Amino acid sequence: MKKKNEKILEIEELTVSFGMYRKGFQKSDLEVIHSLSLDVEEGEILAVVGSSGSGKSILAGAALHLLPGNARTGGQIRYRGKPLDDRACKRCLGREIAFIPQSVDYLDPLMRVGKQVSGVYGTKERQRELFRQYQLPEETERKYPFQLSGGMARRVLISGAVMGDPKLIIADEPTPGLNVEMAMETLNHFRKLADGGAAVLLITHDIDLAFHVADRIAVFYAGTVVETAPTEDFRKGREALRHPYSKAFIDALPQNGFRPLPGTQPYAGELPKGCLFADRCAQRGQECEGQIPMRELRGGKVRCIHAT
Amino acid sequence: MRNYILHRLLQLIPILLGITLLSFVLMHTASADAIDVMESNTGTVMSEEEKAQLRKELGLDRPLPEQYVSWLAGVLTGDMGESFVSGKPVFETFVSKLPATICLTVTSLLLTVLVSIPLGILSAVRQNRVTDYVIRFFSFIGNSLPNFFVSLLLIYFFSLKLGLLPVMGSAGGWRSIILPTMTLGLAMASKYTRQVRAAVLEELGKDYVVGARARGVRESRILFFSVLKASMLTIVTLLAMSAGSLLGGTAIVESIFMWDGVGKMAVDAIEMRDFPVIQAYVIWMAVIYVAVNLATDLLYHYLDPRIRLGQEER
Repeated sequence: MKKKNEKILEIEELTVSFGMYRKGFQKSDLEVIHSLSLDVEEGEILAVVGSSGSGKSILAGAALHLLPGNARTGGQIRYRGKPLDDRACKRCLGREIAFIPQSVDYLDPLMRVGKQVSGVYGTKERQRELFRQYQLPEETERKYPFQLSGGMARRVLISGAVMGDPKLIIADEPTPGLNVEMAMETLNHFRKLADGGAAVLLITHDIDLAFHVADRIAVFYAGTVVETAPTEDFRKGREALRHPYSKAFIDALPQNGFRPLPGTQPYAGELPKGCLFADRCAQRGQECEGQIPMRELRGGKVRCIHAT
Repeated sequence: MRNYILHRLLQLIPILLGITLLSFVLMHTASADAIDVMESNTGTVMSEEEKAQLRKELGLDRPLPEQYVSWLAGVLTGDMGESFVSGKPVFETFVSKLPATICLTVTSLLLTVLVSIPLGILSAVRQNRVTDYVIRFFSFIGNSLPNFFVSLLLIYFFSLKLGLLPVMGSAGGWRSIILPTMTLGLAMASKYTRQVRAAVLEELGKDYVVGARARGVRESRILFFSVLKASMLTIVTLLAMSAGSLLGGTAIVESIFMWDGVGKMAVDAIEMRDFPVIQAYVIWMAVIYVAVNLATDLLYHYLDPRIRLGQEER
């Protein structure tokens, strides 16, 4: 394994809350991400996996200061050792830092895609080169976003993101809408970028894809990361994993017997005290009601006091 | 494309038939006709025979359908009849009033656009900050003040107190258009500032703005190239409707400033039950609205690739 690599992105104790009005004029904060920590090194792909609605996309938005005005973030975000504040982020986005958004809605509907992909920092030649690489027909650059198919749109978004030869790539669900070959191709491209020294934060609900390319996997549950572990551990199966939710996650995969975990994730407004997973956990005890810190365990990190 | 325009213009025919017929019938349900009004206005007492004679001259004694058909036949051959009041040909009277109205329309729309678009954008960008509150406060006031009140205030200050601008009339050269323009423009600008603000805010909340930021596009560029273009799609529709109603003349403002346009003409004609003039006005309004809507659709075609290319592909 590569060791002593530079940490490209470090997120520590990130909290994100949205101010919203409830019951008339009462303003309240809804916390959707709670003391989340993770880091990505150069040359590494970290996959953040979790079910839909657990707040994965907000994590991406928070890291890059792309959330709407009513969002408040706490905690620390560092890019190559320096705090990534709003201004630093503006300077880097589109060049050193790339964001691959979720859908075609992130393209300006009234502008031709070629122009959007080459953007402010890129060139037409590089855009054509990328389009060839992603098997987009040449005339695609003259099209408007609404004329693209789902898969084409996805490839356009990816081309736009890798335009500037980024050092950090945050990809929010980059593969839906692509066929298997194209998805694999895209992920292999991420792999190549990572091998070239970039750090990739891959946000996905598709754990199979994560298995294929990721070096480490962070399991996302109810707005926080409950376990971070080398992909190897996930391949080995439930015994190698640490957190009960990760184990359940693995069990629910088709190849592992399709066993679903009863219950649903707690809603952001009605979180239990202490361990967020306690309500669905077999090992639950009195001690689970306190603050559960993230701790190192067997080469990974876990947020559970029972994990061994 | 040419078929589309042709199709739209053909739709004008049933619209015109329906609307002229309707206004014709409505006018005839009024208790007094042109002769009665004339009698009470001049203060002379006319005998029933005299009145019947006059009605016969104007053709008002004939059954309604016959009157309509003969009027329609006249219009189709290019003759809109003569005014009951002045006796002059309606078409010429009407055309002579148009330049004043068109002129006022253009200036007040220009003022509206020049004031409301920058203020609306500023207000949206500074949402919920002091600038926004101040702009919203004034646009609220501008919205609430009735036209006639604003015009009287303007006359009081600019004409009576400061003596800068003429009080009334379209004869006073370019200076006389300033006050009516301000009256119309300020009210509309107040309304449009809010509309522009809302449209820009809506666009700013869309994902593509986040997407552009993520690609490193500067905020000002996003605002002026992407957001503004998209917001204009909404604003253009509204502006077109405003242009339509302005071209129909603004009775109150035209009357206060003695601005000799079609709005004032229409009000006078209604007062005098001057049917041929009213009919001409009704035709004008219908044509204006159809034309304005058509122009908007064509502009949309030009501005929005989703409409332009969507139709070609079909």
